[in-house]
Order: sequence, then structure tokens, then C-alpha cells
Amino acid sequence: MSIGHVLLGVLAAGPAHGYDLKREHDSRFPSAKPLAYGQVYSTLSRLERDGLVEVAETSQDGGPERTTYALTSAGEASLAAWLDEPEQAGPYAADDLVRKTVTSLHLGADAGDFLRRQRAVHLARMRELVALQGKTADTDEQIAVDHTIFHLDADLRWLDTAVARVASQGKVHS
Amino acid sequence: MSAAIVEARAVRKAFGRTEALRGTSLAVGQGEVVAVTGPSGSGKSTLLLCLAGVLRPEAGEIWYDGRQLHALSEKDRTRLRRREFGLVLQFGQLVPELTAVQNVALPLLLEKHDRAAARTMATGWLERLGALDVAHALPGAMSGGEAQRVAIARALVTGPRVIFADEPTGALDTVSGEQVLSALLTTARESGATVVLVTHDNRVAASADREVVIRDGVVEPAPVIR
Amino acid sequence: MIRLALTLSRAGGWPRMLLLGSCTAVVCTLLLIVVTFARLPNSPDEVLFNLVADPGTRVGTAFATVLLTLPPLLLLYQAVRLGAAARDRRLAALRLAGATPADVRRLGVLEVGIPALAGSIAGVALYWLLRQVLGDNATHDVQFESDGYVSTYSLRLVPTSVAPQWWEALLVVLGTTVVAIAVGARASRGVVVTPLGVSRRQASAPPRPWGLLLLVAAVLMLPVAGTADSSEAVPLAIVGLAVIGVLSLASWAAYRTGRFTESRTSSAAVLLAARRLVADSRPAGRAAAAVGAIALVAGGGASLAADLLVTENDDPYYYISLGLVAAALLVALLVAIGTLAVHSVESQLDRKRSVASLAALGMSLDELESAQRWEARLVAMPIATFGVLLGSATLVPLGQLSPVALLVLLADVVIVLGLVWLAIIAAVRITRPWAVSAASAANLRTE
Repeated sequence: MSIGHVLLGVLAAGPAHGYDLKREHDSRFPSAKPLAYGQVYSTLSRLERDGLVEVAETSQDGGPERTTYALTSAGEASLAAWLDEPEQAGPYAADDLVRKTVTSLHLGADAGDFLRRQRAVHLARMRELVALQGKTADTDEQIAVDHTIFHLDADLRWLDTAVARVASQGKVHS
Repeated sequence: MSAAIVEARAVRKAFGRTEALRGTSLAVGQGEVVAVTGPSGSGKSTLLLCLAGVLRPEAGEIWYDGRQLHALSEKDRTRLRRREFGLVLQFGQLVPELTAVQNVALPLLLEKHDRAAARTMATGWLERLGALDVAHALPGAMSGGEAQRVAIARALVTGPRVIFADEPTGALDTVSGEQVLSALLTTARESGATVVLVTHDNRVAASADREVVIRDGVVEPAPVIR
Repeated sequence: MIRLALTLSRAGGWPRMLLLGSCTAVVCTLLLIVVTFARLPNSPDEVLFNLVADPGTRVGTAFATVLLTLPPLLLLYQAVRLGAAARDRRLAALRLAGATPADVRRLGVLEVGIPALAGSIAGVALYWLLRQVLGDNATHDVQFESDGYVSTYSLRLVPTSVAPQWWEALLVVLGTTVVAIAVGARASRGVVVTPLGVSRRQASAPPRPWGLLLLVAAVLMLPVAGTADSSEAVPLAIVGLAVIGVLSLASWAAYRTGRFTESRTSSAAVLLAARRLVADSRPAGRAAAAVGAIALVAGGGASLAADLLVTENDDPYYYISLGLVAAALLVALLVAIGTLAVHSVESQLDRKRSVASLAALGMSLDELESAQRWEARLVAMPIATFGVLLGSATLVPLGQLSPVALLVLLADVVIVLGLVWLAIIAAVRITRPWAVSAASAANLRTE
């Protein structure tokens, strides 16, 4: 589940409270469903259990208990591995694709490289589907495959636009 | 690795003060179908025209089949384009005064084929590309899609070794585009011809064997996927 | 408005403006000369060339001078259409910016009118110059010896004892300008300039052979001319009808030649030329019309010369007159070359993209030039042949069909057709730079 990785990505900028994590997530994905607090805390406890985050400090200034979480080195490694691996190309909830791309961009990592890799994977999948379509004369099959191809195309166009927007901000290193 | 049949080496091309290509290199193997993609203004059409020997680069070399294109005389280059290249351009490419059949037959007439034979071959190609009903129409009376089919027929009629196509399905809807692209690629693959396609359509790019992305006049490095 | 028109004129290019001005200058000069002829009394106070001095032939000479204004007017027509495509796009942009159709029409009038007026005024100066060169101060006298007589023939063509009145000159200048504007208006009709751009001229209907009627009328009048008591106007009317008939047949002949050739050729250049004629024969037809008319007059002149030779008439008067006619024809042919060249340039400029595509496909510059030459040939050679043969046919009513006469006619046909052939090659060659520019791959740029 990649919500966890998104949170890891936010923590990479520095330790934060659960509340801050929720606010940062919602600000990064304004068109997605806002993250529920319950989900934040349950994800954090899972991450802690897996050793990817640790409690940095617990402050109690006469108010409710506020826990600050921080990234562990294992967490850093997990985050890097997640970003290194392109998302599987598919029309099923591309939310993961969006999460990975945005996280990657915020980290100021070599987003250009990431986007190129992702495009190659998507295009390869499209190539397979186009070849598949060519082999069959069954219109229903072609129509079914068309749907996937069109959604892949949408993702590819989105990636291209992301590249263009990032390039216009001078963030892409070619 | 098959020897490159068409190759650009560090090509630079400027139009006035705008640099369209800034050191572009690309090698296409014999029989390959390569899609050249990239944002508008990236130089893809310019690269295509340079590879086809239509534009002359300011720096760098264009190689075809082991020969440097611009070492050839204008006459030889023209003959080369006539016999061995097929060119499909983006717009305004059909001669407005000629009918579809006459347009398609033109390269054959230039190659000194007999009129009747040229007409027969031209009609055959129009049929293969689904443009037979506009055979005797003028380009002004055709839709964009029909004109594109005629243009592709014209490019294929001489049986070229390399086909250079700039947005060959640009004016077509998905299904027509698929048919036309399929006709183009099937013919090419059957005859072992090489195809260099410039396109901004991902589907067309996916029909090619590989993709080369051009951005700001330079070829983007191929991504490394672990 | 005037400033805008001037800017537009300048945008159309200096060559076009100069061409327009030159045409009106020549027309104005010729008309002023005709006015001068009209002012001459029956027996002039000065020694003039016989055709001018003799009131009997003066009318014919005046008529011929008026006919000489046709080639420059044809060239003017062609010049107005130069760069028409680009000009129309500019006008469309103006419409988009809010100009009304009336505004655009007014601009069109000014765009042609201003250079035309300037040219007409220059024509007055040119006339004055000709007065000096071909008139009073000229010492061009030709002397012939025959039968012991030395006869002197003055070559003073422009009378200097009389001059047009100021109001006549003004009338000529304004009249020439108005005619130029009318020609310009005719040249740009058929294009609808809307804010959305220039709507493509619909494929024009093929021309009809109305000119044949005029020719038939001219031929029918021939027997009348032969009779003794016919007026002088009859031969002039015949010539006039014949010339106009040939001129108006040109487009139709071009169209039919195109249709005949297109299905019978295996040459790409000829096919291209033939189809261009079928698509729109009027421009090329007009350009070559002048050639046809020149051939016609040349044919007529040759039959007169043949007649003279056969009847062993050695009065130099006739030979000098014919010589002058030949000179005038050569000048007219030069103007016709100019018209062909301008048409060649115009057609290249209008078709930049498709010419560049042809070059990219593998059509060499030589082949493209060949297509241009064939276009001119297909339209000019038939009409020139017809014209010269028709003109030569006037020998028939003159009754002298001896071998010598036929030889002269044959020589004339060969010379005329040969000159036309060469004129076409020259005209297309002159415009090679434009052809190179049109075929440039830069015209293919779309990014």
C-alpha cells in the first residue's frame, strides 16, 4: 500500500507530527480524497512496526500528546527502492503512479530520469497491447483492448505534460 | 547489431537564429521501424527532413547506406530521393492540380515509367489504402484523411527502401489511422523497408519497434530500467 | 487610408509597383502620341514619316498605336496578380482587424491606383522624350536611290508641330489610371476576402470559345474589304476583330490543349503543365494571348511583304513601313516575354508548398523548369501557329499565290514560331531564381 511510502516521502524532508503528515499529503494531492487521521496513525504504527519510522520525540506541553516521527535509515532505503522501481503500467487505479511521480518530484530527485523510465515501461506495455490487437480479428476483443490502450495513452500524456511542466521550471537534468 | 542504413551524426540545423537541431545523432537499422517523438518545436520534423536529404545541416553528417548524403551532387541526391526514399509530409504535399491517381503516379512518371503502367500501379495502391473512391478527385475536394491516404500511396508506389513519414495519421481518427498505419507498416515489413516516423501520437509510437525522444533539438538518452 | 495603401503596396514589393508604373507610362505615352496624330491638320506643317503624314493612312497608324497599348495592359493585368495569394492573406488579416469589404475594395483601388497614376505622369515625360528623339530634332532620314532618283524618307514618327492640350493630357493620364484600376479590379475578382481568410477560388469553369465568333465575323468581312468602294474602316475593323478574337480564344485553346495532352503524355513535366492549364487556363491563356496576337499581325505583315515581292513593288515606302511594323512587333514580343515571365513567377509564388513538396519527392529543378516551359509552350505555340497562319491567309484575297510568296510565308511562320519558342525559354530562364526559392525546403517547415 503506497500511502505508507507517501508518508515516508514527506518524512524525508524532516521529522513531523501525524497532523502535519496529513496536511502535507492533502496539499500534495489536492484532487485526491483527504487522508483520514485514523488512516495516518494506523499507517504510522505499521511503518514503526516494520522499522521504517521511529518516534523522534514526544512532547507534552500541557496539551494532548504530540508524537514526532522520523525516518529511519531502513525507511530511507525502502523509500529509495520504491521510487527506483517503475509502477506497473495499467489502467487500474493510477493513483499509485501519481503518488510515486509527485513524491519523486518533491524530493528534487532526478525526476527526468524517473519520468523517462516510466514512459518506457508504459510504451512497452502499449506495444504489447497494440500487437495483441493486431493479431485478433474479433471486434469485441479489440474494443476491450482499446480501453486499456486509451487509458495508457492518457497516463503517457500526463507523464509528458509532467515532464514539460518540470522542464519549464528548470528542474529536469537531461 | 544490424548496420545502420540511415544515420545522423551530430547534426546541427538552424533556421535563421533559431537552432532546431543542436547536435542530434540517430542511427536506424535496416528494416527497423523507428518512431521519433517529442514536444512540438523539438526538431523532429527537421531531423526527418535532414535524414531524407531534403534539408542540409550546418554541421554533422547524414549517412545513407554507407554514403554521405551531402557529398552527393544535387542531381544524385534528387535521384536517390526519387528511387529509394518515400516521403510523407505533414501538409500541403499533394499537387493541387493533379487528381489522386495522377499524384500517386507522378513518382513513377519521374522514373520514366510508361503512362498506362503508372496509372495501373497508382490505382492499385489507392485501393490498398482505401482511397479508391477519390481516385479522380482533386486534393481540394478531399478530406484531410483522404489526402493523407493518397500521400502515403504516393510514398509507397516506387517501392522505396526507406520511408520517412511526418505525422502520417495526423488528420485521421483512431480506426482510420490504424488502417492506414497498418497498410504502411505491413508494406514496409513485407519489403524489408526501413521506416522513420515522426509522431506525437503514442499509439503510433507504440506500433514502432522503438522510440527515440527528441527534446530541444537533442536526442534524449534512453532510460535504464533495472 | 492612403498611408495604409502605400504600406500595402510596398509590402507587395518594389518590382510589382515598378512594373505597374512602367505599364501605365507606356500606355499613356502611346495614347498621347495618338492624340497628337489626331491634332495634325490634313497637310502637316512638318516633314513626317509617310504613314503619319498621309491623312489616309494616319487613321490606320493611330489604330495600330492603340493596339500597341494592349500588350502593356496585359502585362499590367499580370502584374496586379503578382503575389496575389500573399496580398489576399494580408487583406484577410485587415478584415479580421475590422476593415469592411468596402474598405478592402478601396484599398485595392489605391494599391493599384497610386503606382498607376505615378506611372501615367511619368508617361507624359516619356512622351516628351520621344518627341525629342523621334520628332523634331531627329535627323533620321533615310535615303534611297532608285531609277536615278534619290528619295528621302523621314523617320519622324512623332509630330512636333502640334501638341496635346493640357486638358487632353490630363484626360489621358486620368483615363489611363482609371483603366489600370479597372484592369486591377478585374484581376482580383473571384476571391472572397473574409475575416476567416481567403476562401479558395472555386475551380473556374472551363472557358468557352466565344472568340471564334469574332474570328468568323472578321473572315466574313474580308471580301468586303477587297471591294473598291469600301471605307477605310473595314480593314481596320477586320484586324481589330481578328486580334480580339485571337486574344479571347487563348484561354479556351489553352484549356483544350491541356485536356488533350494530359491523357497522352508519359512525361511528369508535361502532365504537370497540362493539368495546370486545365485547372485554370485563364492566367496562362492571357499571358500567351499577346503572343498569339503578335503572330497574327506578323502573319498579315508577311503576306503583305510577299505580295510586295511578287508584284515587284520596290517602293521603299512600303518596306520601311513593314520594317517599322516588324520593329514594333519585336518590342511587343519583348513585352509578351515579360508577361510570360511574370506569370511564371506568380504561379511559382502561389504554389510554394506544392513545388517544395515536388522537389522533396525527387523532382529536379530542371524538371520543374521544364514544366514551366511546357505550360507556356502548350498555350502559346498552338495559338501562335493559328495566329500566324490566319494572318498569312490574308494573302489569299490579295491573289498572289506564287512559290516566292509561299516561300516568304513559310519563312515567316518559321521565324515567328522560332521566336516564340525562344521567348518562352528566355522568359522561364529569367525567372529561375524565383523557381529556386519556391522549391526551397524551407517552404516545408511546419513546426
